[in-house]
Amino acid sequence: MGSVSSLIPDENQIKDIQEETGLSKEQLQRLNSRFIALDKQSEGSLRREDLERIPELYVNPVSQFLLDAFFRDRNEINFLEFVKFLATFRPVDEGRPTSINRREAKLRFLFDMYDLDRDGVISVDEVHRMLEELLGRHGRPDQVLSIARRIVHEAALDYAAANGVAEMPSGGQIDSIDFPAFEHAMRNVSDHQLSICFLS
Amino acid sequence: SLRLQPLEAFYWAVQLIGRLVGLVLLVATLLAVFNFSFGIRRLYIRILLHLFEQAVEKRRPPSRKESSDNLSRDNRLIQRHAKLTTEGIELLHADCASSDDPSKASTSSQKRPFHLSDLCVFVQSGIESIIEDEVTKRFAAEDLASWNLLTRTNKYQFISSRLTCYWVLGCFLRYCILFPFRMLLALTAVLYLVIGSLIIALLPWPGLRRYLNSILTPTAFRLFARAFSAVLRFHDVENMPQNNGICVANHTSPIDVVVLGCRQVFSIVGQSHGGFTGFMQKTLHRTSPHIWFERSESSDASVVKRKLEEHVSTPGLPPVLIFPEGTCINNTSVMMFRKGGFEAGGVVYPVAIKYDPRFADCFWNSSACGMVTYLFMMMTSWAIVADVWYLPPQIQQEGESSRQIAGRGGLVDLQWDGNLKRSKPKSSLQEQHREAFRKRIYGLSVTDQMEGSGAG
Repeated sequence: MGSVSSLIPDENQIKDIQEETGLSKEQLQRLNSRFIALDKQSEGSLRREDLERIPELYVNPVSQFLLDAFFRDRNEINFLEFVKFLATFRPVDEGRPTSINRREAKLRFLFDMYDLDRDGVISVDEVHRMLEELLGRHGRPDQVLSIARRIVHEAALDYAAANGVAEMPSGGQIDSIDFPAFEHAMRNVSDHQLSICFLS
Repeated sequence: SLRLQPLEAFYWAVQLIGRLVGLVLLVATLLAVFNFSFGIRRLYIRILLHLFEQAVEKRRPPSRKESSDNLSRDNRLIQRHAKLTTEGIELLHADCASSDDPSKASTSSQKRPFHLSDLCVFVQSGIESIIEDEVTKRFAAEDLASWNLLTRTNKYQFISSRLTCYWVLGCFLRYCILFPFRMLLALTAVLYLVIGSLIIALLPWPGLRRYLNSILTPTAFRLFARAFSAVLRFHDVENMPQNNGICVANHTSPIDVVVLGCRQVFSIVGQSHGGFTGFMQKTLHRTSPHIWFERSESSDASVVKRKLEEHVSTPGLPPVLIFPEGTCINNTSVMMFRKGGFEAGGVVYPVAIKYDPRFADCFWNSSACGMVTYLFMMMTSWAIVADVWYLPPQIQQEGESSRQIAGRGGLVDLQWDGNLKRSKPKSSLQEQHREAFRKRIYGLSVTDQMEGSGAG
């Protein structure tokens, strides 16, 4: 059980984590218990399979995208990373624009969920993939593709218009949008819809 | 002669202890045979519970319920926005933020074009379920209130010196006092079973063999149960599985067989193993038919199915015991079995077993430790406290027995979980959510005008 020490954060670590995440000690303890409950193999870290084991997550149509984005650069998550990730979805603190849970960080995660090939833009194909996943066999392929095209095109146009560019240089279809355009498209989404409501 | 006396006294003491132990074992065996109990184990459990509460600082007041069917504490960490349940997407209005958001829930029945932000509700639900979900919560809830002084479950308590002291005492009690005695009991049980089965197997009359076995096997299992200091509570006994039925139970631990076997004779379905497990399998098989299949056969669903059908249609045979989630049964076999196996007309008896995690951590990580190690861990835990619910029998339809079992608090999703991991096409629940989502999106039904810009 050499990993036991990493499971129980000590007092100093807790203070640091509190500072960085804005979570209270009680909340951190609860999350610690949760982390341990999920860590069936007692490795001190969570793997993809540990999360896939959660039934409610398993039936979530976007679970694979979520997990892909979560485990983007790594195979396992330790407690600190776990907590930091969850803290990202705390409701925005008005007075701290650069904190871990700023709006941009939340949108960045959503962007990453779409951006499967990690090229920094969301392409029509990627929106199409997401739609396919959300609809399963209930969507007609041609309709779904055309919806994906429309979305990307409109989002790009929207962003260009908002930035004072009246006309696109090439008159054809735009097939990808970058993060600022995505942010713009999501401007009407309230923080409430992007956040997790932690009870104290 | 002065030298001899201590030696004599020593021998005399050993003999006395030996006789005492032998006497206790005999009494235990007799008690098991006649299914009588002095209530010592129950008393022990009560004392333990009392001790746990005294010894450990409580985080929050535990609910004082007798049965281990402890209900979920209402202490949630988060306020859920969206839940994916068997009924679909449940959108919950949460106004934890100062501004009240006119949530999309109110417009969920209207169709509207897809927007990139439609992802949000699923992401929210997904992340929320990572933090807290009904299933894992129920089991974790029981751990939160107090630590049960077992190293293997202490992962998060900050240990004080007082606790450490209790822990050391507990260790001594469990490893040095309880364990040797339990080991002896277990050996007695094995001996009893082996010798008994050898004798019975020699008798020429099948009827008599069956009758004697119906006494031998349950009593041997009861003796085994005592070796774990098991306190078992059986509910709804009128629904107990009958001959030629199929008993479907959720699988937590190899001990399940012992727990259920205390009351009646089963024909166990399982993969044949070597070693100690294999030895026990052979012993049991001497006096009663079981369905063991080879590893190679387990991938052949029809073989399993055929054997099951044969068994169920031969009158007078004990009910079959199946653990759909057991790792010894290959996935496809179970799938096939669930779909077609009940055409044989077998009545299905769902059984739910729940272990109280305060007394032992019954989860068996088969890749981490073998059977013998696992049994050792069980025998050095405080006790095994389990509740067994016999659910009403039914004629199986696909997926139905799982839902039945799902009705019992705390077990919902053990069975659900097993189902989810089993099916190769994504579960019907996922399809349900997709269908619900599709209904909200304009442009995706056959009758709607085709969406999209002309340039596409």
